Amino acid sequence: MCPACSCTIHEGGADFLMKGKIQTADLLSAVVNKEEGLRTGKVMSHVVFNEIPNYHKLLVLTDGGMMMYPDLNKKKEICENAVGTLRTLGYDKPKVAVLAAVEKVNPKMPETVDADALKTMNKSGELADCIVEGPISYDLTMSKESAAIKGFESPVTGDADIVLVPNITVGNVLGKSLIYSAGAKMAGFIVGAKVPIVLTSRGSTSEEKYLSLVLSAAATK
Amino acid sequence: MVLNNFDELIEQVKGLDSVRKVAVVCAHDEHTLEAVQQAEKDGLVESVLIGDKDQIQVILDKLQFNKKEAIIHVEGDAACAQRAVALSMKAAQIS
Repeated sequence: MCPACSCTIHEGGADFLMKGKIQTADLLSAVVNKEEGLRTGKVMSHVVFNEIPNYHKLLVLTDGGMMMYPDLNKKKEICENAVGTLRTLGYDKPKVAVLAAVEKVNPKMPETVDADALKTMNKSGELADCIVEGPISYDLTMSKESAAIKGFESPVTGDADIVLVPNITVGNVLGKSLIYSAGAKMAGFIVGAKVPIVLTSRGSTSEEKYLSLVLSAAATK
Repeated sequence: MVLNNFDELIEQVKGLDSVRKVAVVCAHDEHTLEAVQQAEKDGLVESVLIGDKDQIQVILDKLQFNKKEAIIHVEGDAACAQRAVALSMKAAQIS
């Protein structure tokens, strides 16, 4: 028996949620309700797993669906949500690539400044349980050969587990490129509430919804 | 360890100590129920469907998905979402 709540015990509870035919905003407003919702105080972010035909392992992409233009602190929390998810699944120290167009910090490209700050936080231990590289471009993230040609050395090159994008547009475009142009399969969910939430879009296939169910079940521990 | 593909993730779920339960909010959506049906068939999740019982039943019949016990009839999108959140609050409190 559950001592904390008697009203729903006969219905058995639920380990996670999945959106059916309801507007995302309507579902999320119940989730974030201050008194009765599922907030934890952490940021809620979208975590997508991609199985890409020419990459040797699953690649996590975050956040292309929830946070629009996260600042440095939010990026840190987005990173922690993804790292926490992978550690729940059994990873030890996931490798994180903080994406930009270049590897050099350039104040005119603010995402490079944030990426550098995240790497510094990782080195100091403030952003723990992962290996962060950034700023780093997509080619160097995905290909050790490209990195070697450019003389860029990092344990993350060619072996990233997580790509952290600077904003929702980059994440959205990259995610859809992988699906529509590279033949990737995806599974995704919202992390940061008390339970995982499957929030696939109306256009997503049954397979994507199925894999998202699998992912959420695995991440519910 | 790392996960190389989704098959390994599926194997991980098969190895869990118990089958996880999903609450589907406003469940009258064919692709959603198709995915839930397959995941149940594969023994990966259990589900409780929240929403308009009649609308849900039409799709269940079409999919030949037998689910009578686990439908919670709730009218209105906001009420469905609240019920689902209440159900998962309980699970969160236990763990």
